[in-house]
Amino acid sequence: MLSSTTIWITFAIYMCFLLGVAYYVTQKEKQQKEGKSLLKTSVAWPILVMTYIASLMSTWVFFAGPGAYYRGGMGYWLSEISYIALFPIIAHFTMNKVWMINQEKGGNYVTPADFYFERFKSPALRTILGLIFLAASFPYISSVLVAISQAAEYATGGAISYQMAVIVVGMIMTIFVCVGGVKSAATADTVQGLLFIGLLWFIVIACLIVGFGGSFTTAVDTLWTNSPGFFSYPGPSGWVTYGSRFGYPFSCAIGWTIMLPHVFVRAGYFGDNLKSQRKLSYITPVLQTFVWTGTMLIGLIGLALVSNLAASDTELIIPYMINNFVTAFNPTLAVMMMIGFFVGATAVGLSTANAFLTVASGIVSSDLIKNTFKINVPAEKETFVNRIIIAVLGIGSLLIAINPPDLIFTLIMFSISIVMPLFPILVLGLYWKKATKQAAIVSTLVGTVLVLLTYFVWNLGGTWYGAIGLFGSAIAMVVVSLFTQQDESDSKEFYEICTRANNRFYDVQE
Amino acid sequence: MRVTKTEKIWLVVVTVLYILYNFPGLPAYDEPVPMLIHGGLTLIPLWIAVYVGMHKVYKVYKLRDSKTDSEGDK
Repeated sequence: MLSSTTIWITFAIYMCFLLGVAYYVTQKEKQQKEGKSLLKTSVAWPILVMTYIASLMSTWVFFAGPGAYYRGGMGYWLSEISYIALFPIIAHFTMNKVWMINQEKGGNYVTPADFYFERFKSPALRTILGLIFLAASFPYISSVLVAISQAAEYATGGAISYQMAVIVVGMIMTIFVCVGGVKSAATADTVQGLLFIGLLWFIVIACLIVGFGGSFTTAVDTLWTNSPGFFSYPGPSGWVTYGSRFGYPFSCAIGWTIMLPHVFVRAGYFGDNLKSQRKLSYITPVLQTFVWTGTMLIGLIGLALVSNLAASDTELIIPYMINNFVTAFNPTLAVMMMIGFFVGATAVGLSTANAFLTVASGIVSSDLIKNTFKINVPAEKETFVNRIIIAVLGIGSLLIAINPPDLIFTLIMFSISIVMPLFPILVLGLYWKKATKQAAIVSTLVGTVLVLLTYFVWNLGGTWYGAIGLFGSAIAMVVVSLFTQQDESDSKEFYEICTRANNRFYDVQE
Repeated sequence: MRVTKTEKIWLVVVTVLYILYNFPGLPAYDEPVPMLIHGGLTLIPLWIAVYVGMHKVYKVYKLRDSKTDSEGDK
């Protein structure tokens, strides 16, 4: 379909755009303040909302999502709608409190573990959490490289090899984050986020016109006749059972929208004020539903057009439809759509990978180098060291991506699952004074082991994801806290900060 | 952290609706119409509860007019 030259030119133009944004943002910040960290930022609500949504979109909207709807059907979409609604309530009880406490401490938190340390004052816990958050980062960054490289290989009919694409995309991603840091990633998210949401819906409409003359009713009727399983549980592939209808969205509600390190810092640290935090809560579910519905419709139209794709091919349903249906309808439109698909997949994927890469480098520099190994990097060398770390992490993810599993979905969901057990520690740390650091450490370990057992021993990862680990972690947190004690002075300051922050930001009228 | 009565009600209502949506055995497998009815009866109230609750809780937690909200590295 596309020549390798077209793909490389597209890459080059997109890289120029990213580097242009990075240059603009860093120059603007240099004028405002010297010596700014690459790993922290504070942004107004439109950028906050878009960088958050773009981080969630990642490779989901163009790859894993359409494939998952193709296999899971309408019931799968309903299960997603159930968790998307939960963001405001979870954010209110957790991330807005995290935001206030961070502000009260001067906005100095870089990594999720910084917050946990504030509450539990345990260097060991900080190190363990740093390692777990880091472990979640690699599969996710790799998933992006896998998705984009598969797109390049598919779009060129194999003219660009998968391995070559992994290397080039990996290098682009690493260079961009090294140069620009987190604020340029957030700004690029805003610019391209709306554009690619528009592109997603363009693909939906174009495929509907090509496949069914623009009639949504015809598409639904066809599907109702040929694949009625799309409209009921457990879906066309028998995948959305009662168990996974709960396990999957519950994992997303906790893991994907709150606990993954790149969304944790966005939802908890990035907002420039509490009004921005609230706007994030108001807008996110609606905007996410709009995007996810477009993704679902791609799966619906794809299944109505062709119903016998292998599971691993379902994630390439968009380029499949372009190649097999749009080309015959209008070759020029097909080329434009393929380029759009490729750039869109690259852009939303890279924005997530950039976000992950930035926070992962923060974990290494802050949680591990500075606070575990007690190595003090001079302030003037901090940026240089961060760039080295970003480069090493980027190359590490690139190496993982060279030999990936069958489904991108698997990589993404494992990242989500492994951080889920850390949620009860966050909640109980905020609301229960008796929670101890010993309990936090034990519950982290118990939860992580349970997630690993869920995936690799019990083979229940595809149904329950991180839910068993989360429940195990919650129970361990309560039980061990009741049997252990921690010096009250360790948490006294934390709760004083909570009270001060509450009084500073809220006028409670009840 | 203190939790107000409005927050508790919000949390309970949303949790109950989320459990209702996930109640095992409902709707029956391979039944399209019951799935849509079940989704409508549980998910629409869930969304309404989340947004109405959010509005009420934010009214309880009025924001102070602070020009120094963020002390991050703006």
